[in-house]
Amino acid sequence: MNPGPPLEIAVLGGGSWGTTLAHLCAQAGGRVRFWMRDHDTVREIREHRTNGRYTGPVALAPSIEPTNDLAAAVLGARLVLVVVPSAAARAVIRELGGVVLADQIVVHAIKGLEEGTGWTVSRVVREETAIRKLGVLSGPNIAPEILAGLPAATVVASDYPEVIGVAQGALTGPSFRVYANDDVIGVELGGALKNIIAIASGAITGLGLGENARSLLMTRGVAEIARFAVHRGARLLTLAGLAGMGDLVVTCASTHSRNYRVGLGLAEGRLLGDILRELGMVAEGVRTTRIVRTVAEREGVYMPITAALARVLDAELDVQSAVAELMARPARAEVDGDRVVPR
Amino acid sequence: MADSIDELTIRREAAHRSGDESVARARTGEEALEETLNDCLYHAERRARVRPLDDAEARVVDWAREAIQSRDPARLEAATYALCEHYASEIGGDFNPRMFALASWLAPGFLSLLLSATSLPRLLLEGLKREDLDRRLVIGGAVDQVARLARTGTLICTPTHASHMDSLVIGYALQRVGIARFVYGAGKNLFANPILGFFLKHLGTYKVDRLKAEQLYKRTLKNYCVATLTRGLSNIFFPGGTRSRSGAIEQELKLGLLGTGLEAYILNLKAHSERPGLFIVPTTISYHVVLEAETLIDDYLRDEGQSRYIIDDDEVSRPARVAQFVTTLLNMEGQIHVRFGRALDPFGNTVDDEGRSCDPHGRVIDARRYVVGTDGHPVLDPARDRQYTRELGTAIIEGFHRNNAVLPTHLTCFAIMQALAEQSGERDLYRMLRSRRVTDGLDAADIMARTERLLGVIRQKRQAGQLEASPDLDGDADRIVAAAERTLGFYHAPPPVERRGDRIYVRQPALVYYYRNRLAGYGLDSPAFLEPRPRKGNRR
Repeated sequence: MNPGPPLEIAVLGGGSWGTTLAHLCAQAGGRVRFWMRDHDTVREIREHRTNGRYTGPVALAPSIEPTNDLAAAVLGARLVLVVVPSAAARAVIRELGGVVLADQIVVHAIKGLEEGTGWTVSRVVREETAIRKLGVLSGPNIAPEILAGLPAATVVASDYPEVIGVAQGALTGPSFRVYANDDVIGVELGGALKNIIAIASGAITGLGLGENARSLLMTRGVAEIARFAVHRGARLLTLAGLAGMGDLVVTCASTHSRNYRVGLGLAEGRLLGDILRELGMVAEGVRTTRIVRTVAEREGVYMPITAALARVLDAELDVQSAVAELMARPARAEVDGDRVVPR
Repeated sequence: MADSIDELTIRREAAHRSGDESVARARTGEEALEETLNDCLYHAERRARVRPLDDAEARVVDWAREAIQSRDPARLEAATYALCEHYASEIGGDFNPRMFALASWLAPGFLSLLLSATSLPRLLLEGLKREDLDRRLVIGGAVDQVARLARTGTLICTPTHASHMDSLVIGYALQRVGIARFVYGAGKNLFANPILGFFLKHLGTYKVDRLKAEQLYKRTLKNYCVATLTRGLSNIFFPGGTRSRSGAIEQELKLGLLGTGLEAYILNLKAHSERPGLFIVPTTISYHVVLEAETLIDDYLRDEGQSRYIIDDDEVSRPARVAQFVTTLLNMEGQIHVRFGRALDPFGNTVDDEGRSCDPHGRVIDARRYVVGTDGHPVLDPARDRQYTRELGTAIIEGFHRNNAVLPTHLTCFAIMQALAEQSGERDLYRMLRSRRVTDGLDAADIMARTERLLGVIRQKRQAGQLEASPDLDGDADRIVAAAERTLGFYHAPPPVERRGDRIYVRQPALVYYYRNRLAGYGLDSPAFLEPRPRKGNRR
């Protein structure tokens, strides 16, 4: 299907999504250099072809070459996928900026925002590097399902058609589709902010509040996400797509979702610290909730669900009271033309 | 080099490249030549209703019409090239690269020429010496870098645009930092202006007819610029496309002309040029008072649909106003500030003094790689290059903000509008400008306090490199407000701001708003409804 030399790809970040993307790229015929900081994992992948901590017993494609050397991973790659936790993003991107060349394509798949600034990753890339050919990958993508070969799709957004074309070529397979978009900020924010609603969804399920309540949460949640995203320059319709509503639906329903499991724990009245310890992985939604609450308050964007959840996370409010407060707010018009920012 | 280039080769190249591009587009099925020519005919006929076409244009338009009727591919191509040649010769017009040694014209001082044109005896008697002019024009910023880069590559100076005086000011400033050769385009309407036209005809300016909306004309204009750039001729582009109506620094740029820098860069690389570097210099020009302020803000405040893209009846065509402006300039202690920002590459990265592109941490990068195709050779790619140019535009706007020299008139007017917005209780710009507060006056002590507060913020931002403050802001609020009141009142009548005892009266709120807007976009404390909005689309 893909004649000519194989596509050279670097995947940065050895978590579950990074491992999954590396595997997908290799399956689609690419030569993948897979960078991570952890030496033991590099050795494990090299010797056993597994990344037990994140993807269990799944056998990773043989053409994946793990490494601890970022420069060596990036050298000669046509496409660089950045899949590190958002808390590590700026440091890794700065390092990447020192080795990447101007014709290399960089696509990030980070569903989170930066602490303090609330910037999306594309903004961080712009501040730290001279990278121009940049894209973002996001969508309803539960890693274990994709590794199992179940059908799924994602979105790649970029201002550069070439970025989208190369990312599509690198990832598309018989059970994985890649849609194109040019709304970078919309796709980034859809992916990051849905994690907030995922936590809330876990809590609502844990409380046994029923399916109507969950649907209510999800639709008002997407309205809230869209309000923030449009405020930051996104297109409204992007939030109705795979990277918006699509991702929200899956994260709010799937028991695989870490953020959802955080919500379940909160509903049981457990402490956030204990839940996160037991999870053993990063739940981006916890960080994102706090960041978005601060930014939204500062910039005057109305986000009642996010604000209530942030207080629950900080143990200022219990989940039941948060739900009661949200239900007691005066109801306003659901849809007001194209305007999502209430006056 | 530049001296041996004559206008004819530039013209010819521009026409050929435009013709070639059109033929190539027809071959790939993007746009048939019939469509290209029909677009030209349509716009020519529209223009003919207002003013008859000149003979030369009428002739090529006839050919185009006959070619379309004949459906003969050879004739369609010939007519396309003929139109391109016509446009190119019109654009070239009086332009003569051998003559553009501005220095010889500017040596006696362009303003003294200006003054003789206004025949104001008093000013002539005072005499305007070169030294006066030097004192009146403060050139700052990356001056050394600009001078160095002009020797190693080709410059595109991109200034903020507030006034028709800008062309003269920037030309003079470039000449003073040692760049005597450059070209720029000016609206065809300006050539008809009694004062400006005189200079433009002699300064080696090419002509831009903003009434010509046909794609083929725009393509030829673009290629004309590219041809001058690939020959190493530095250019001046006003990237906002037109003078700022609101008084604010440009928030949106015209990317078409800006993109010629990247195109020239790629062509240079393809031709293995020895000096392929193209450097874009965001430049700010700050005036205490702006010659055309009244007309511009009046145009901005009209109903959206009525504002004009081309204004041909403003202060610059009224000798008495020009004279008053020059008098203000000479009699006030204030100066015109020109600041060169750090130079950029065509992708929006800063460049070091050797012309090497750098990332935000100052790490040198190889910019040629931005434009290589999969085979490793440089290649033009319109979709990709448009996006690069957009990134350049963002970097230019940042450069504008960082190099904007804040003057007493800007700061004082900002403080006054802030007070007016709060105390009028209005939430609408137009109502606020007409509010009773305007006539009732504002508390002077309050304005001083606000000015003092803003001054603190501005000094902080200056420390952080987010803007520039002129030395005129070194004093305290009392002196700053007094200086602003004096300068505004000297040029504008009635005085826009007038202090009487402990009250400050706003006589011309629209003008105060205009000068205030120069500080828009910095996140200074001000209600959102005061923020000027960019104009949408190309309006006439």
